[in-house]
Parts: sequence; structure tokens; C-alpha cells
Amino acid sequence: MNTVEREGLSLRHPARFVLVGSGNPEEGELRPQLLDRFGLAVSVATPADLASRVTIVRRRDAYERDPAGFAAEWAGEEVRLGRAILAARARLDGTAVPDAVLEAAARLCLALGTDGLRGELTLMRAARALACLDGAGTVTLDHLRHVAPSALSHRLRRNPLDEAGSEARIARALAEVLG
Amino acid sequence: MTAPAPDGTWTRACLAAALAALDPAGSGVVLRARPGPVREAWLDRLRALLPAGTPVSRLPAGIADDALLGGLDLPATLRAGRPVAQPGLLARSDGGVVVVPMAERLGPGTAARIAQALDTGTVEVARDGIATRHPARFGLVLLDEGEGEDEAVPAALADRAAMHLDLDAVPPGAIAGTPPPDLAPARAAWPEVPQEAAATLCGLAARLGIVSLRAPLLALRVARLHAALCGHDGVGEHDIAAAAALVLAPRARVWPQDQDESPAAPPPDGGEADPASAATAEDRILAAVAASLPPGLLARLLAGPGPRAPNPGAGRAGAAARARRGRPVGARPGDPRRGRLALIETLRAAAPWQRLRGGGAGRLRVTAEDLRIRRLVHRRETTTIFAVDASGSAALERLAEAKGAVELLLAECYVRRDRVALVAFRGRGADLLLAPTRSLVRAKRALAALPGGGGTPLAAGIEAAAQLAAGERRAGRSPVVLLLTDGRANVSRSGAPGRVQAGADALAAARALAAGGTRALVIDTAARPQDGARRLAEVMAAHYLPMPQADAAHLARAVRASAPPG
Repeated sequence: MNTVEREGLSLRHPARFVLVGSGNPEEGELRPQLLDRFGLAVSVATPADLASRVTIVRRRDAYERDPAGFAAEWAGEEVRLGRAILAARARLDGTAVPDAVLEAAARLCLALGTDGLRGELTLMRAARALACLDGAGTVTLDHLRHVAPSALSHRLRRNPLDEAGSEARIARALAEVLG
Repeated sequence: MTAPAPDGTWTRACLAAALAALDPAGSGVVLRARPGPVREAWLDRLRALLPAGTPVSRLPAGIADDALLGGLDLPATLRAGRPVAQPGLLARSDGGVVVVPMAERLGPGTAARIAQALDTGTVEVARDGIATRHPARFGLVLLDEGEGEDEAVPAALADRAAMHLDLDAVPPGAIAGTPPPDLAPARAAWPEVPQEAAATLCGLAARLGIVSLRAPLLALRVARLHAALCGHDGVGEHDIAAAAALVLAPRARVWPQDQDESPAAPPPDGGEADPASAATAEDRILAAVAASLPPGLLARLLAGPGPRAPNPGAGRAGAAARARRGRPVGARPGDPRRGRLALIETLRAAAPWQRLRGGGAGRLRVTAEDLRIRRLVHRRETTTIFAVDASGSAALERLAEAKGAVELLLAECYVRRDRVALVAFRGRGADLLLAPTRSLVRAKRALAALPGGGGTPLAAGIEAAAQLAAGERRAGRSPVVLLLTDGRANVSRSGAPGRVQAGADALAAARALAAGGTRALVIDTAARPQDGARRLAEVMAAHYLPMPQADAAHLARAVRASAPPG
């Protein structure tokens, strides 16, 4: 919801949208209050193994040579993925999140010392979404384990000079909490 | 410097011009050359090779967003009484070439917008009540006129430009040469690219230490253009070698190793390509590439683990006055899209003309020249330059503690969102370990890897810090120098040992630093406070702080005291 109250106007627009931000960590970091609002975070690096680099260069070259043909070639896969996502979305309401999973999520956040409750909320939503995509009826600890790094890595209170990656800390906490 | 045969460089540059003219939007060039006949000759050649009627425009480094991307044509809009849109420079250059003189002065925002246009091939305007999308496929020619290491073309654009040329070594006499080739047959050709070409180029990029994936991609494109230019049916080893020399060699970060030293590329399994011959083809090309590596590269590679990342050429000394945020300090005539409209001042400017313009009662005629915008002054960013004495005497005493102190200060800088830079001096001279950055992790890493030992070239250290400070001031930031030393200089400016001369040189360097107006703080790392360091601080007009008292709280307070007021 977007509220405008200025210059004699008082309006409310619905504003539900997905915010996708990208940034270069070498240029500095986001403020924590903004970072906390992002649900998931992934760090993307240029692939370092030769085989995947060659694949990328070949595909990009194929695209440049014939954009329409390239799109047609991959259209089937895209449609399949789109359908899977739509079907998963329809299952979202009927998927239960057991108390044990919620409790594990809370224990995980406590162990990592994240501020606020957005960590647990995101863990729950992301795990549920993953379960729907997998076609599982209920959310399991495995789903939680899968989404935990991307849901929590940006919420850790970290020492700016600490070099240990947040992913390693999450892996440790996962091993402690979930066994 | 033993220059390569200058004719070779010029021939390669001519080849690059032909390739760029074949497919401007698919290639792109970074041309490192000072203004002069050689550069003009190259640009003329490029223009002559392009098909007649191709737009070639110049993009000034300080271009405003509305001129770059397009926007509202304000005078026409005011005249017509309805919004009149005008396309920007990028959209007008669709299908042509954009030449950027002084590309090292491009701001990061402008560079990002140009990069986006390059990536998408379109320019999107969604502002001032206009929403349009223009096609903008253009070739970029970046003219790098940077002096020294601290001025470089924005990395985002340099990475997207295929060919990097350096014409500084070409004498003007070498440019009289072959007439430009006819490109019409090459334009129509579309040579086949064999499957293993991509693998060869990726392998070469890996062996030259190139991380970016754009490099092999662009090299593949250039190889195809080269094959078309030469009239080959398919891309062969010769074309790949030419592309690698133009695209990959200038980006090399590692001196190519011999095959048995570096991990060999996995040979393609099966197929008609015999693994041994594929590997030797890569080696042959690598040897050709090594011959065309820039002459200064080896020296740079031997001097350190790799050339440091170029500084994004952000801002200039004038940036503070053109700030878009900050405290208002009056108004000036200007376009409200480049700042905030100052309504009262605009009305005040329009008022005297109302009778002349025929404004009646209750009507006010405002024209473009009445518009006033707020002048804002932005708080300058601070760069903290750490100059750390890593000499034997300091190492003996307490280098570890000095490192600890610097870490405390780094944490302080993190809180204040300062930039930090790190200079260390030991042995015979000073090294810039870390160019100004906001990444504290990198600062910490550079510091942890700092070895100790050797003499104390204090003068060289102070001079390096002063030079860095001057660069930061040019870039519109306020530098603060933190010198951690025991003040016992024993290596003079010329690198010769000797306490007396070294001490005098250090004092002279300190005086020069103070004359430059740089704020400084001297932290005496000696176990017992030394006269030398105190005297140095006096000459530098710096705060002096002996380390025995330099606990966290003291240091923090001292840094805050020497930082400029916000």
C-alpha cells in the first residue's frame, strides 16, 4: 500500500510488488534497515570452471546469431517452468507448515541472533513455496534447510571486519539446530 | 621501455578500426591515446570505413541525463504549451558510433546508463510525463586520456568494449599507410564458428587470468568479424589468434604460464578434434598473444600480484558545488530537471517582465529563462589514508599492535562510511596496498598480509600518502592522513641509507604534506614516545598521539577531531 499525504492530497494506492535489487559488494553495503526488508539474498559470482564458461559463451553466441530461434528452442522449457510455478501457486493455500518446522526456524534465528522476526517469516514463506514447487503436501525440515542460506545470509549481525562468510555461519547453525 | 615495432601497433590498430566498422554495436573500442595526430588519424580511418551516412557523435563526459537519454524539450514545451519530447544522444546514435573523449572522466552514473543501453540495445525514457523506448544500438569508442594510474575508464564500460588499443607509442610518422579496405563483401559474409572455438577462447582467458565472461564472448565475436574481413568461410586458428591479441591480451592479469605449470584445459572428449592438437593450437595462439602483450604489463605483474583495480573515476573537484543533495545555499538559473525548482526565486525573476510579456491581472507568464533551481552543498566524503611504517624497527617494536590500532580505526571508518586507503613503507620505498575503497574487508585483508622488516623510508611513505591525498582532493573528497610510525627514518628519499639525510627528507616531505592543506594525525608506535615523531607531527601541523595512550577510545576521539566537520 502506498499512501500519499501531501499538497492537500490523501490517497492510498495498492502497491504490492517484488523488489529486486542488485549491487556490487566492493562498492559498500546496504543499510541494515533496507537489507532486512529483502526476503531472499543470493550472491552471484562469475563461474570459475571452464566447462560452464564455455557453455555460457556458446549459448550467448547462439542467441546473437539467431535471437528468435534461440528463444523458440528454449520456449518449451520456459512454458513448462511457468506452468509448474502457476500450479505450485495454486497449492500454496493448502500446504501446511507443521509446528515443528516453525519451531526449528525460530531456533535457527535465535542461534544466529537475527534482529526482528522477519527472518522466521521469510523462512516460513520460502520453505512453503519450495514445498509447493516440489509438490509436497507439507513443509519438511529439508525444505527449511534448503532455503535457510538465502533467507538468512543478509540478516546476520556481522562484524564488518569478520571474514568468515555468513553462509559458513548458517551452515554451522543448521548443523547445530537441525542435527 | 623497449617499444615494439610501432608499425605493428599501428597495423593492429588499423585492423581494429576495420573490425569495429564492420559491426560497431557488436564490438567497441577503448583507445588509450593522448589527443594528437595519431588519434585523429585512427578516428578518421574509422569514419572512412563506416558506411556513408552512419551517425558518429561525440559524447562529452559531463553530459546531463536528459541530453544522454532524452526527455522534455523545455523551451519547445513552453512555446507549444504541451509536452514536447526529444530523443537523447544515445537514441540519435542508433546504428552509428558514439565517441567519448576523456572517457576517464565519466561519472559512474553516466557509465551505468550507457552500459544499460549497450546491454539492452534500447534507451528507455520514463520521466517528465514521457514514457518512450528508442532503439539505440551503437558502437562505443572510449578515448582514454587518463594521466597515470588513478584515472581509468569506468570498469563497467571498459569490460563491454571488445578491443583495447594503446596508441601512445605510435610515432606520428608511422600513420601514413595502406588505404582502408573495402568492407562491402565482409559485411555480407557470415562465417561459421566451429564448436571448439568457444572452448579455446575460454581456455585462453583462464590462462591469462581474465575473470570476466564478456572477454571470451567478445573475442568470439571479433574472431568471426576477422574471418569475415579476411574472406574465410569459417573461423580458423588465425582468426582466433587475432581476436585473442586484440581482446584478451590487453586484459591479461597473469603472465601466461607454460602448459606443464598451469592446469591443462580438459581436452574435449571424442569428436574429430585430437586432444593433443587442440592443446598445441591453444599454445600456439598463446605464444602469439604473449608477443602482443602490452610492454608495461610484465613490469607491473612482476611488481605485484596484479595491477590494482582501477579507481572508478567518480566525481571531480566541482562535484560538491553541483551536488543534488545537501543544504540549500541560494538559487541559480537552471533547468529544474537538474535540481529542485526554487519557486520564490523563479517568481521573483519573472515578476519584472510581466508588463512587457503582456501578463494581465491574475496571469503570470513564466519563461524558460526565469526558472531558478536551488544550489545545494553536499557534505564532502572523507577518505582516511593509513600510512603504516612496516620497517624493521617498527616491526621489532610493535607492528602487530599498530595493525590492531589500524583495525580499530577501520571499524570507526566503517561507522562513518568513510573511504579508506592503505600505504605501507618499508625497505627502500612505499607501496600503495589499497587504493581508496569503501570495502573494509579488503582493507583488513591488505593489512593482515602486510609483512614487516627493512629500513624506514619515512620520506617516501609521507610522499606517497600526500600524493594519494592530492588525488582524493581532486576527486572532491576530503583526505585525512594517519601516519603510524616510530619516527626513526633511516632511508633517504633517494633510497640511500643514512639517518641524517633520511630525517631531513622526512621533515621536508612532512612540510610538503602540510603545505598541501591535508589534515593529518601522527601515531607514535615507539615503546617510549620519541622526539622524532613529535617533531614530525609539529611540522605536519598534525595531532600527535603516542601509542601507549592510543587505546580504542583515544584513537576514535583523535580521528574524529582530525576529520573535517560534517
